[in-house]
Amino acid sequence: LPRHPWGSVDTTQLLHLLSQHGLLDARVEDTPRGVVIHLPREDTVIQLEGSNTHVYCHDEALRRTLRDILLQCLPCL
Amino acid sequence: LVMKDNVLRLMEPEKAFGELGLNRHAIRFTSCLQLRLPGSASRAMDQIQLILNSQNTNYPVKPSEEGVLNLESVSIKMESTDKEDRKSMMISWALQDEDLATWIMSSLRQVIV
Repeated sequence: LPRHPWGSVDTTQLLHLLSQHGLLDARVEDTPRGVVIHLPREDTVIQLEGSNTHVYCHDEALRRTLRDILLQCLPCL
Repeated sequence: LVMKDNVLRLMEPEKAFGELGLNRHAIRFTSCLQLRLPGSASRAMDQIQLILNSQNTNYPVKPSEEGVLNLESVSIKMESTDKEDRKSMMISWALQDEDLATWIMSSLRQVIV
């Protein structure tokens, strides 16, 4: 598992990968500091703010999927 | 392991990011788990500490401070729920402590509802 990502998440790529994994209900909200992606059916929120991402997810299997998707959207050392 | 100016060096990740001029991306996760633990939220937190210490004697978990239990980047907070024997545990951690967080959650499997 890559532990040292850098740069910023490409939101378009992230949304594409989410839909590829069957997460089709993503709702994107622009905020003053970045973007928030809501997955209402999954009770999950992904907060993207430049070089910080915070995933609020209570389903461990889904969280791992989101972690792997995010790491695909970032270069890693 | 970083190659710079034709020299190969072993560096801490933080230092490597600085040397390479890269903007480290911090990923953090927050999950909420329902636990079967009777008593007050602070007593539930003590029980969590006991469970974790019983499974790991090499790195004892220190008591929580101001209701928060911290281990590296992992922080754990406990809240009471409508049901006396159920607690809501908020656990948050950084990507680099993924193993520690998943170990904590698997250690608590016996009390996860």
